[in-house]
Amino acid sequence: MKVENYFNIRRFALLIKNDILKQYRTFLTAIGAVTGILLAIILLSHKSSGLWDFHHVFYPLVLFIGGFILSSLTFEELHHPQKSYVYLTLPCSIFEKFVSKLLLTSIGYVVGSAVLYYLLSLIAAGLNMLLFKQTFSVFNPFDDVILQNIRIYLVTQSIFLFSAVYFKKNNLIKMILSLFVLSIVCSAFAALVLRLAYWDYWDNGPLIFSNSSDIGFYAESFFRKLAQIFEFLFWWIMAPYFWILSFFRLKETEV
Amino acid sequence: MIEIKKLSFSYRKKEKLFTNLNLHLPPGNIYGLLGKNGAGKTTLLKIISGLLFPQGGDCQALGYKPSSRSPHFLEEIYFIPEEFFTPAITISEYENIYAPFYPGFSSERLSSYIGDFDLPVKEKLSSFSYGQRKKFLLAFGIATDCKLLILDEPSNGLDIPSKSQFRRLLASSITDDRTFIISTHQVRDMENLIDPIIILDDGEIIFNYSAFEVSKCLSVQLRQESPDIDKVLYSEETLGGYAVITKNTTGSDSRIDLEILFNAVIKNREKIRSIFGKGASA
Repeated sequence: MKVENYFNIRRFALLIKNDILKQYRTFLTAIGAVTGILLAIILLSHKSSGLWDFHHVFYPLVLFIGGFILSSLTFEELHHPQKSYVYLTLPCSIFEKFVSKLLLTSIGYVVGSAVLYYLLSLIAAGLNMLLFKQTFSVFNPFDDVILQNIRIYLVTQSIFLFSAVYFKKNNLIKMILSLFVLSIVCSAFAALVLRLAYWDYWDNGPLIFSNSSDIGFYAESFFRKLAQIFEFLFWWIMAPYFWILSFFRLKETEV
Repeated sequence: MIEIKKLSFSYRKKEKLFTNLNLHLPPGNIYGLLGKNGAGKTTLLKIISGLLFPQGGDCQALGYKPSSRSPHFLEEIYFIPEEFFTPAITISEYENIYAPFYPGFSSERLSSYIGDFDLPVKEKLSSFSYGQRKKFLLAFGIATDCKLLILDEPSNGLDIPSKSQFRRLLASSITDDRTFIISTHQVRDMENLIDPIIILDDGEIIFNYSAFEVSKCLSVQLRQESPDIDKVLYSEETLGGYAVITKNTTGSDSRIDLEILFNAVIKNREKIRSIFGKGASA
């Protein structure tokens, strides 16, 4: 088993360049549209700019919405009848093809969007000063709230990357719908389990404790453990799980 | 070069396309893959290039399993399907993006082929006609210096001068270590190019012989009157008489019309096979 068959730095660099060059017109259009909209919002809302933290609201919007759309579309050529043969016969390993897309839609997108958003905030600050004689805060990507949003994006993006490989059409809508259905099913299941496990603590209707002091100790420790498990699964298991699923799905894709 | 043993394949919800397909293709030839519509020619080409996976049996090309999609294997093949996509970029941009993946790629050769095909170098590929885009992909594919070039219906959409240029280009590019496989219905366009001739029917290779073997074993004559069907291998009415295929008993070389040969093999497979005997390739 030669490493060269799976990963070669020259090939990988070429592939990343290839992936960027193929998409750069779309990227430029999207960047132009988002920049225009954000600048318009910033300038129109200059009177209330001191009342709320603009960047804590708008950067996460750009990060999540833009990133999820980008991730969902990243394997578009794989499902296109005439583009798929070019992509699948491109002389690179499946691992390189997967990692290239993963890097571009995760770290690549985070860094790119943060840099562009930072530049946009500089322009907005300049314009605000010039037009309205007002100060406008410059975006700080290392702010705790922003860093937490980036961490959440890097984990949740893996689901949309998987949807990009798995679904042939309308990946984003299908993934959102799947997540919605899954959350309803999980909620119903959790309610049912709770209802059965804490049968004695309910009266006439579900989720109404008759005696909160009785259940308090058991419920609190149970939910705390459950929360810890989910937290662990979210931060450490979910993304690698979807990356592995995506990789194998890509490996098994035929035209 | 290409070794397929007991290959089986089917599309979902459909009958098996291949159940026990065997094929051996040594390098140094331009193979012509012929077959009726739906015989599985494109599917076979896709399996050889790793775009589809066999469900049984073994397929080896250039010493690799195509389904593993090893980068070294992919560097050595170039597949041009019948329906293809070309991005909205110029020839030089396309070259910048894709050529570095092919170690044997020659920019000089590409420029020379582009000149031969008279392609507009400054325009975007998306603005090219279907025939021009096909000519560009053919030129690029040959310029990669790949060991295995797979072409699905390459002459479709090419004008008359381009067809001759294409034949010249392929004939001058084949070397002892290269293999070209051409799947086509336009047998007249490829008549003097493809050798050996492979015919795929009912999920198996029913004919795989060189032009030399064919001319040694079969003879085609044009007769004025309808022949006795029991005394000939195949006959069909043509303009001005009947084209008749018989066993070549004189040993002299006979030029075989590919279209007639194809019809003869499809309609009279056992009789034709018996002529070629045990020593033949199929």
